[in-house]
Amino acid sequence: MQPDLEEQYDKIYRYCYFKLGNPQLAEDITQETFLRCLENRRFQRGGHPLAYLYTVAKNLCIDEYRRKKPRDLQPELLETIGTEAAQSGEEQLLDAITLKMALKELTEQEREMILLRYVNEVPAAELAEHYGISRFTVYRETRKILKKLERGIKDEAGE
Amino acid sequence: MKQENKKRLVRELKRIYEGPKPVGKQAFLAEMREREENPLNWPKIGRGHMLAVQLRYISKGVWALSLVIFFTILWSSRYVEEDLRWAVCAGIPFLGMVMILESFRSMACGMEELELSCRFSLKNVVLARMGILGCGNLLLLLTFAVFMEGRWACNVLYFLFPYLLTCFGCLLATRRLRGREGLYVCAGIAAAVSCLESWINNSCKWMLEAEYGGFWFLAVGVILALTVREGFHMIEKTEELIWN
Repeated sequence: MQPDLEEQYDKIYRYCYFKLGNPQLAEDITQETFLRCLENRRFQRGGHPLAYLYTVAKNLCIDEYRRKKPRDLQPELLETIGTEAAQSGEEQLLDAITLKMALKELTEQEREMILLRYVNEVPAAELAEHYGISRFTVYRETRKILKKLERGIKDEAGE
Repeated sequence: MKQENKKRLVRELKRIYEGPKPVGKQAFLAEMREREENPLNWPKIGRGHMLAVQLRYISKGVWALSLVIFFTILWSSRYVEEDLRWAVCAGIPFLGMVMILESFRSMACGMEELELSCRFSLKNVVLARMGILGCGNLLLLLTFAVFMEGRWACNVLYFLFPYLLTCFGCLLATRRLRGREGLYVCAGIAAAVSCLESWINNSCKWMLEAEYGGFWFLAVGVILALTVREGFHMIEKTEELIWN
C-alpha cells in the first residue's frame, strides 16, 4: 500500500531540512524524492515504501553534500531552536536548551535515528529495512539513544 | 527509562525538530494529483527514446576506435598466415575494454555525481550504454565468425572467451579503482588477454580443435557467469547511493 503523500511530504521535508539546513534545498530534494519514487514500480508494488522513500531522500542529500563542502549541519540548526521554545514559557525553554545540548553529544547517525523513529514516527520495520538491520536492533538502538539523551539531560541540568 | 519520562522526551524532541513549514507543498501535491488523474497530459519517455538519447551520448571516438580495431584485425590477419582467428582473438579484448570503459566513463572520470543529478538514473544510463555497445560488438563478432573457416558455433565460442574474460577483468578493475588508474589497469588486462590468446593460437593450436568444443563451451559459461555477477556488483555500485 502506498503511503499517504501529504503526510509523508512534511516528514521527508523535515528529514531533509535537518540534514541540509536549507529550507528551499530541502523542499527541492523532497519533491525530487517523491518524483523518483512515484516513477518506480518497486515503490508502487509495496513492500517497504517508507524505507525506500527515506533511502532515496538520504542519497539525494548525500549528493548535495558532495556538491558542497561536507559538514555536519544539525548542530548549527539546533542553535536556532531555543528561541521558538521561549514563546511557550521559561520551563520549556530550559527543557529545549538542555535537550539541544544533549542532542549535540549524539552522533549524526544517532540523531538521524531519533528523528526518524520518534519525530517522523517511522515504523520499526521500515527503519530496519532502511538501515539494513533487524527490528530487534532498531528497538535496542533507539532505547540506547534515549537513555544516552536522558543521561545527557541530567548532566546538563546538574551543571 | 520511565514511560512518563520517555513521553516527555519524545514530546520535546518533536518540538525541537519542528522546523519551518514547506512552501511548495500544496502546488506539488496538486500537480501529482493532476498527473495521476490525467496521465496522458504527462507523457513519459519511452525506452526507445531513452536508448536513442544514450546513443547520442556515446562518443563518436568510441565507435571510430571500435572500427579501427575491427579493420586492424582484418588487416593483420593477412600477415599472420591468413589466420583470421588468431587476429580476432588477439584483437577482441580491446573491443571489450573499450565497451567497459565507455559504459562506466563517468566513474573512471569522477563524473558520476553529475550523471546522478540528470534525468535518468545512473544505473539506467550504464545499462543502456552497455546494451548499445554490446550489440555493436556482437555484430562485429558475428561478422568475423561468419567469414571464418570452421564451425560457426565453435568460432563464436573462441571469440567470446577473450571478450568476456576482458570484460570481467575490466569490470573488476573499474569497480575497485577510480580515475586514470582504472583506465591503465583495464588496458593492461586487455593486453594480457591478447597475449594469452596469441599464445593459445600459436603454441596450443590443438586446443582449438573441434573435439575441445565442450571445454570452450564450459569455459565460456563460467566466464559469462563471472562477468554477469561482476556486472551486477557494478550496477549495485552505481546504486551505492541507491536509487531505483
